[in-house]
Amino acid sequence: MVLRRNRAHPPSTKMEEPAKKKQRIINSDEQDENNSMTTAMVTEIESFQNSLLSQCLCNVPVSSLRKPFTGSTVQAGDGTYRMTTLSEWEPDRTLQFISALQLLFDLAIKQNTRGIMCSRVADVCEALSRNEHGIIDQILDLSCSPNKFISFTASRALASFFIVTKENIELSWLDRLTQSLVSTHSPSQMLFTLDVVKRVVEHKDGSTHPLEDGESLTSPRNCNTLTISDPESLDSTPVKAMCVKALESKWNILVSKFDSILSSYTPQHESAVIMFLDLWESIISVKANLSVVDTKLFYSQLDNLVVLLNSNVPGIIWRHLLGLLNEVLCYGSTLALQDVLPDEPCSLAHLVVRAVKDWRLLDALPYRHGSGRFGGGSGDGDRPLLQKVILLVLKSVAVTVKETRSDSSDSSLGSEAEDLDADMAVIERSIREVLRQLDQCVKSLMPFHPETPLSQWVVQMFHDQDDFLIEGMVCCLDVAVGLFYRGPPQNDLGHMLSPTLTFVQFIRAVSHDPDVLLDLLVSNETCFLLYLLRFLKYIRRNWSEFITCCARELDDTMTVLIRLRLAIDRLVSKALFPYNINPVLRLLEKCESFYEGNIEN
Amino acid sequence: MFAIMPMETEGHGREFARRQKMRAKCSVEFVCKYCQRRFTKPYNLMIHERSHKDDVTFTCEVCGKSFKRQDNLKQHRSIHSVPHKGSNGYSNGYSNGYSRY
Ligand SMILES: [Zn+2]
Ligand SMILES: [Zn+2]
Repeated sequence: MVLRRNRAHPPSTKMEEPAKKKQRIINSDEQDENNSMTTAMVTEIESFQNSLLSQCLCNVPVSSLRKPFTGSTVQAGDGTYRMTTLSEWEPDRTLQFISALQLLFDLAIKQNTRGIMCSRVADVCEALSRNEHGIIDQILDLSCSPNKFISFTASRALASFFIVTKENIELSWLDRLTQSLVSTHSPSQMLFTLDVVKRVVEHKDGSTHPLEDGESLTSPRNCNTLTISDPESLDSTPVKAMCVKALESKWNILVSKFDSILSSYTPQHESAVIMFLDLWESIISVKANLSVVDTKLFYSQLDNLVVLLNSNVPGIIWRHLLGLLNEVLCYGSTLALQDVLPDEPCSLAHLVVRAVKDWRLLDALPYRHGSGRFGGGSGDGDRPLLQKVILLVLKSVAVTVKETRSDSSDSSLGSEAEDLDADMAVIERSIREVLRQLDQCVKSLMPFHPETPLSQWVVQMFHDQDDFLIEGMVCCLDVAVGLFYRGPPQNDLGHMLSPTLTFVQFIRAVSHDPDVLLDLLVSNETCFLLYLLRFLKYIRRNWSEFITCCARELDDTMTVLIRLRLAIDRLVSKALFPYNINPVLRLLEKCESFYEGNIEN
Repeated sequence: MFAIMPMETEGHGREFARRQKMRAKCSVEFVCKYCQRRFTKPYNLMIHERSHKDDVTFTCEVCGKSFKRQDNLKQHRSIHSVPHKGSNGYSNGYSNGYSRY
């Protein structure tokens, strides 16, 4: 092993005050010596960096490979010599050193993904994972560096190190991280821990840049490579779970801490609060691929966040709070597909519905009463914020309707039909009021015609945000299907939620191009597959309403659907469709046959 | 951990009983291999599991470059000196598709 022969630096045990060790005064002779030593170090690090850029450390002499890690010595107060720690170095040197480590870890991650590693790269990473020279503890010490660049660089490097080291990371490191998050009052120290954990949780295994050149991944000729055959070595799930577990043990304290920060919000906490909310969102995000069993605790205490959506909290915090709440209500990816909804999103959805209906949540929307308007993105305008709040309301409404339907339709309790009708009547009244307020809010902030129904403005509102658009359309469709199970209602709600009006508006928004629909179907960035499936089922059941509602645009709309069917057919016949699309294909054929029958008559 | 999260609070007894019955009724369950969420229909599970995956890409059949959108790939194809187009314009669009999983 490259670094083994060196005496390990005793790890420092405290995270709070590493800077106190600066106890000596340097005389001028020593200063000169120190300077030349520093220069030597810098060149060692530079050559280390250059080798990393050529993806191999094999040609770096062992002696010089060791030097950057051993640092320099200083005379302590009692006359003995000891190593300096990273936090005592010149800021530029610390930065350069940490950046070199970052480069090393990123290379190791990349090579690990590829399955072939430079054996030296692997050796150095392994030595660091044994905490030789106490480097990891020293990086942890940098969390309280007054230099923001240093603590930022250090947290980034530490996250990459955790991903390289995987389940071999020491629990004491995680303890130090979470403990410092709990005990510190310094926003930058909070940021350090939050950033490390967030980066680990958000790491995607095997993700290389799509445009990355194939050649840049090959090792130089003289590299002594190591082939990694263990497929598990690519999986960062265990280390993610360890980080989440470490956070879990302090979660309730942390939520209270940030709750009180938010209750008496000051701008100096802005980035720490945002990072905390974003980390929370990442942990519960479907994309994190973490088990719902492991993350159950992170679904508690969400209700209080709705209360925090008030006019004392600035727009930027609103945006991140809304992002988190929208992720909890993962409608298009998950909740819409489940027959039994979990309690936490249901209770959150009820609360949002109540907050809009009874506590006028939408009136508290930041900037609402300002001079500027939404839409332009300039001045006081904040269209993304409005989009997020609209989506949250639509999801909450959809979850509420879905939950009521699935509960009431359980025939084993009471008389089915009466139960359902009574429950649905209550829900319908609430939903109508919520959607009325949403409509009013949107029209006061956006230049929509007063007559434009929600079913149409939802497309215009989200035209620049595919994922929001499709999820919003799924919500509206499900709410309409859920509420109008006895046929369209005798009030404005039918127009407000008309699935056909939404679809026709959507087809217009994509310029009648079936390729856009095909892209959306193949990609998994949106829930378009779910939307199309449900919409086609809806028009199959309500064909005459579809025709009436399309009116003069029936032919154009059907042409898009027919061309889409042909495109899918071609791909399926070559086995190029990435998943089973048959249910959609069957529905498209069915609707086509209705349409043809229609023409004949 | 679960002690902190009581499944039900008083007053929701009826709702709770319903849920239990619902869960019992849905005897066949399909469990997501990423997050262990439960679904009663396999096609619904498939739709859900797609959302866990990194996005699929469209790969150029000439140089292997990948694109998130088909229109970007179409545009890119024009840089190859001999215009390459399948009989229908969609050929080889998904060669890299789901290889990661
Ligand atoms: Zn090598
Ligand atoms: Zn899942």
